[in-house]
Amino acid sequence: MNIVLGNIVLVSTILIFASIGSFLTERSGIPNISVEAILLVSSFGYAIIHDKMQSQGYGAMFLGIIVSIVIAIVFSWILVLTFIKLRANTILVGTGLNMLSIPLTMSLVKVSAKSSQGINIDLLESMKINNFPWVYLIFLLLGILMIIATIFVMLKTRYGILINGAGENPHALHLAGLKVNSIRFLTGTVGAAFAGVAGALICHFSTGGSSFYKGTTAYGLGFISLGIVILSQWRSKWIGLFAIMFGITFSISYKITYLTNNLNHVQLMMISAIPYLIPIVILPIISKSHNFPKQMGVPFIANKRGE
Amino acid sequence: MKKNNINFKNIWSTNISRTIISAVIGLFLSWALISLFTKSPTSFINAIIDGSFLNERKIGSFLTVTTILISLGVSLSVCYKANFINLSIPGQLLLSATICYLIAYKIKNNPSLAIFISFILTFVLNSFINVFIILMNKYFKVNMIVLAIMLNWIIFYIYRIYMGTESGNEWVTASGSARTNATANFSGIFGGKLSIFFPILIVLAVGIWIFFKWTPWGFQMIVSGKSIKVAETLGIKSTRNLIWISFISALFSSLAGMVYLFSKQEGVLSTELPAAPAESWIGLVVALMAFSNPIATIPVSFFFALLLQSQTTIQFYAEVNNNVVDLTNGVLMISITSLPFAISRIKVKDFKKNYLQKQKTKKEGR
Repeated sequence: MNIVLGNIVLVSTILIFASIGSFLTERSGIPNISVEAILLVSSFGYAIIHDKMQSQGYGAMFLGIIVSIVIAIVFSWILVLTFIKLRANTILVGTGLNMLSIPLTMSLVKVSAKSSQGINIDLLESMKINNFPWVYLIFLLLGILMIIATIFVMLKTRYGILINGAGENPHALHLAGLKVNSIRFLTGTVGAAFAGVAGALICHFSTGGSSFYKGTTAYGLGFISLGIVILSQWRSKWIGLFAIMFGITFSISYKITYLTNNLNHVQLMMISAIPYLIPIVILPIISKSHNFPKQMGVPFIANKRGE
Repeated sequence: MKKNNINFKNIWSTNISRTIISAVIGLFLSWALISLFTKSPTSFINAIIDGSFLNERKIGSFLTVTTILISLGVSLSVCYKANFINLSIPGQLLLSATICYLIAYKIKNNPSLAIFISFILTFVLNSFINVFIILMNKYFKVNMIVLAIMLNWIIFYIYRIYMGTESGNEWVTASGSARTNATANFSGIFGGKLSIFFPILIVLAVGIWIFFKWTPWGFQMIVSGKSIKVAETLGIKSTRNLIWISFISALFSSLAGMVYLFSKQEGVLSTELPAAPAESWIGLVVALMAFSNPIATIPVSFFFALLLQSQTTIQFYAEVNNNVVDLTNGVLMISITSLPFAISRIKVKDFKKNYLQKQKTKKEGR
């Protein structure tokens, strides 16, 4: 039971951070389908710090998180800058980043790992997922605090209005003398930083705290976070709720064998597909009253008239 | 008679030339990236040549991969024309290959019948997926991209139900899945590796090009893709056209799934395929690089098949993971989508003029 609870807390935290990152980026008008790639690449940064520092403790953990944030920011700049400066189609660039991330991480792991199995991550007993670690509860609380902060920033501060403006009506911001692309760039960077934290925690999820990191997958959690943002209709107040709901569903489906032994292969696979089935069922119900940023995916060109 | 002079000064300002330059820059960048992971980066070229042309078997395999890419490229090109970025293609490829495998396994004695039933069934299912996405978007305003991605994952779990090693199904053995004689009727050329689908796909690609280029219906579909408002003002039924396009796309993705299975040794489908096989993503790049032109997908597919085939020999030459080649595809995708705009901003003529002007001013200053 502890392992399932540990997974619920950890996955919910990952989804909260990844969804906030994705939400901020999309709210400013940059469609971000490369969250999966950002999670995967930043998780490598975390793993390599653990390997290089030869440390199991909290010091390596926090340094690893900082490094994965930096990697996530640098990686996401490919998406943000190609959109802002080169007016590229972000769906295709995001797909390109998703294509790029797996071989890149696997090759980096192969070059840098001392063992042929991958990078060895052996955390303290108190951080291993099997023991329901309290440290992840702290991260979950931090995630919830971040959601509250995001709601506050989006609804009550000037920066929130600017982010919304960049996604909804960038020409109005431009007329007010503000730099739309700078706001988009800054928000994209902040969003990537959140995804970087999630990426670091992916590393704990993939190894469980005591095995080899291979850098092959982010378990589709990036795509789920994308689904969360769309299900929450780009409203900050719903993100936390959906993230925890998906965290519970994903963890139970992933670790169902720890709860019951009576399920056959078909039932196990069907349960595993539930997190991806939920958006398909809910989206038609809620999408009619959509609230997506009007200028999402439209590069800002100052002298171009809108429709 | 008036002479049709080609203006060579403007030849580099076309979309095609910009894309070619972007692809060359992308190739150079990916080569630089690959050289970080290997001591002998030039061996990548040897791997490409040997992976595709070492012997008859390799040539056959290379042409089969080209066939898969042509069919995926045309399938996606058709969707691009209607402004429908069909990200459900990876799922459709996996679904088609699984269904073809199961039917080929069940109907062992009559491969032609197996192929016919597989084709009909995969075509119906892939069409259903495409139409489902289009209708959900049309009537419920559901985001097409997210819906397609979620469907891909669900198809992946359906594949695991039937093909997973833990499934205990009779067609899945401990060492992978069992053999079928799916390729039996379609061997012959190049050591039995090239199926009849290669010429069929070439003919179909040309046929689709003619359809879009010369028929009024094809033109209506392109207009619907360019602007729904304009199309509806002209009385064109855009949703109906989009559904027809989804049928054409499903036809090609079904063929891709079948050839994908035949490309495997003895018709054996791996039990450990990823949620999105590499070929499906490359199909996106092929369509993009070919400017959604079905004929242009043929040479572009040859190019990407060369890259894909090098995966089979890269480990031997450069001691790196064979998936390091996928780096090239990712970098190419990003460079092809983003660099043409940057290239369009570079004005060689102005640069030359400004440079000469600067030099002149410098001389005068002295």
